[in-house]
Amino acid sequence: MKKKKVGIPYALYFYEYYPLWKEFLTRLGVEVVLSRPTNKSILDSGIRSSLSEICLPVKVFYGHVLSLVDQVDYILIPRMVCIEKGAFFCPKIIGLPDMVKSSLSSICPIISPVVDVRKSYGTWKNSLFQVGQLLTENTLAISRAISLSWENFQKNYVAHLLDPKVLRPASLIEGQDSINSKRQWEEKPINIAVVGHDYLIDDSYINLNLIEKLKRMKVNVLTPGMVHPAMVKKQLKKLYKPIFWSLSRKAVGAALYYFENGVEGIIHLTSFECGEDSMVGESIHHQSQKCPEVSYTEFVFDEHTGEAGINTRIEAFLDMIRRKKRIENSLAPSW
Amino acid sequence: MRTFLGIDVGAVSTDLVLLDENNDVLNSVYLRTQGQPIKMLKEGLSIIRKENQGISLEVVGVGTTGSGRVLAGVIAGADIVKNEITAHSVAALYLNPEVRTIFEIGGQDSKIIILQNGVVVDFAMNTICAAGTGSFLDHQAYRLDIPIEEFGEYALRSENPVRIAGRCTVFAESDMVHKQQMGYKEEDIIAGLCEAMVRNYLNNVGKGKKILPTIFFQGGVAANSGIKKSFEKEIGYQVVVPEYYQVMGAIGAALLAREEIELNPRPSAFYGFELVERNYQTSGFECDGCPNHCEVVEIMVDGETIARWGDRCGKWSLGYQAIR
Repeated sequence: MKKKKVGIPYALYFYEYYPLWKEFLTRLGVEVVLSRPTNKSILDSGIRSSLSEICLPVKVFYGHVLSLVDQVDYILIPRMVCIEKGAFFCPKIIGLPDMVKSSLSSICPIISPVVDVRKSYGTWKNSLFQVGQLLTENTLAISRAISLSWENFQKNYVAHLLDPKVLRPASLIEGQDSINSKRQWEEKPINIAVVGHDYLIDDSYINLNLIEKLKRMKVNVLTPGMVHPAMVKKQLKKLYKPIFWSLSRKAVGAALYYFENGVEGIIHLTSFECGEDSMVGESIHHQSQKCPEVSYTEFVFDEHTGEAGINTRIEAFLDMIRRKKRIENSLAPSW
Repeated sequence: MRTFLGIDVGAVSTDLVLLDENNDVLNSVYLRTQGQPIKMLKEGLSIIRKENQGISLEVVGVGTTGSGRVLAGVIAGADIVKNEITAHSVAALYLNPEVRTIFEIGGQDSKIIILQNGVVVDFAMNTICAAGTGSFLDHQAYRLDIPIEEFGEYALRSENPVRIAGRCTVFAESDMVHKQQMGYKEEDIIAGLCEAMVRNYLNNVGKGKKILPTIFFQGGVAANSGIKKSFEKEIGYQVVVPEYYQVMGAIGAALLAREEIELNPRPSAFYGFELVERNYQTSGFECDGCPNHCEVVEIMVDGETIARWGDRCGKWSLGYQAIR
């Protein structure tokens, strides 16, 4: 029998949940097709087919869906509502399956299980089970696939937390003691935290290759994924009001953590027309005013963001940090 | 004579300055880029050469800045290529170390720079919208059929500026047409436009920034005395427009070139004023190596490729490494 093919768009929440779905579906004997990383044609087709008022990451999601349509039997678009107490997904994500269905007329069937842990039908296990039933009649195999893939998902997550790359203070790069030439100052690595949604930080097409550019400019890049969730949780308690959106919690908690833990600068990535970011950005900005020793800036991404604008901002931000250090250490020009 | 050359290639203007060893301005050139940065750069260099006929000039360092800084750096042979924020702040700090705030409004973008103890501590640039920039004023001046140079004087004559929405050029325009048809005086409308632009600048670019004196106002729009007055009215501090407000970026680039050469001594990479006689061509092609279809640009001098960029993956890039 021909293997069924399920397409997964490489965008939005799948930056977090792809491993779980991939393993679950594979265990059911389904072939999983992940769309290619965002490129020009994905972005262009996404922009053409989506609503104009929607944020860029959702437009990109449309592009990924379209790139899969001809290759697969189903496309997986879970309706992510709630995965923890007191926090939700953004309304655009909650409505994602409906939005895609209504805007893209000729499209293969969409599988959209509801993940809403407040409801009995919406727990992870029930959602996975519903999906499994669409693909096979063997309920025993489904249950087995659920427990194994869930277990591995958790296990990998814990392993990821034990990874030395996950932040301990030691992964900050310390400066050399005696630096006395301008060139050495310019080449000394500095620690910059880049915070924001994973789908902006990890999508090098949308963020115009920001992470690579920073690395090329001798920056030790730190991301929210490198902060232990326990730390994130602890930091979030300091806020006057809890953060309402699950996907923003990590970014804010990590930003607060980095403000206190020795980075020289923090860059907050946001997408134009993102409702979450407009609120979350304020609370990070608020914190930055309490920590003037950490430089802070915000980069806004949109479909027509030019590369020149982002380059100028990166260079000016790094210059600001490096010149400040150099001049404080009396390596000022002679005149 | 030992000199330092600063080049600022912006979207609207191309500026060049030549500084002597006391950092005094020997020559300053301000040209409209008109979409032809290479041509204007060569023209600027020939003007400087002509103005210094009979004097033997030694260009010890060259710095470029502005949105066309990389191109200018490759064409001229720059010792340092720097972003506009750093260049503008270095120039302002050189003129007055007490500067705390810089408003820089150019043709296509506007910036605010916050300084403390002689270093930049914060900055912002306009993001998606161009309503607070020189192009906005240019466009409205054209609509009103008033030369942009006289815009400021009109505004100063006004006694009762009318309120115009400054959020967006499109709405500002419809607001303005409406006010014209209601019969408001031209100078009141122009003063209203200046106020709208300042409001928009302070609300967007200057959002959340602590504006403290001494305040410098630089960039092409600083020529407009109406805007200066609106700034002073809005923030309650005096705003200083430095003598060389139009070419502050170029001055900063020259100072940065000097700093670079003095801290890392070496002969300048400058091609010399003779480069105006060289024949530069640019050509482009679309790479079909992957779905990104990057538009790659090639810069050639007398038929030989000297630089190439525009590709995301870097397989075509040539002649220009990481910016210092």
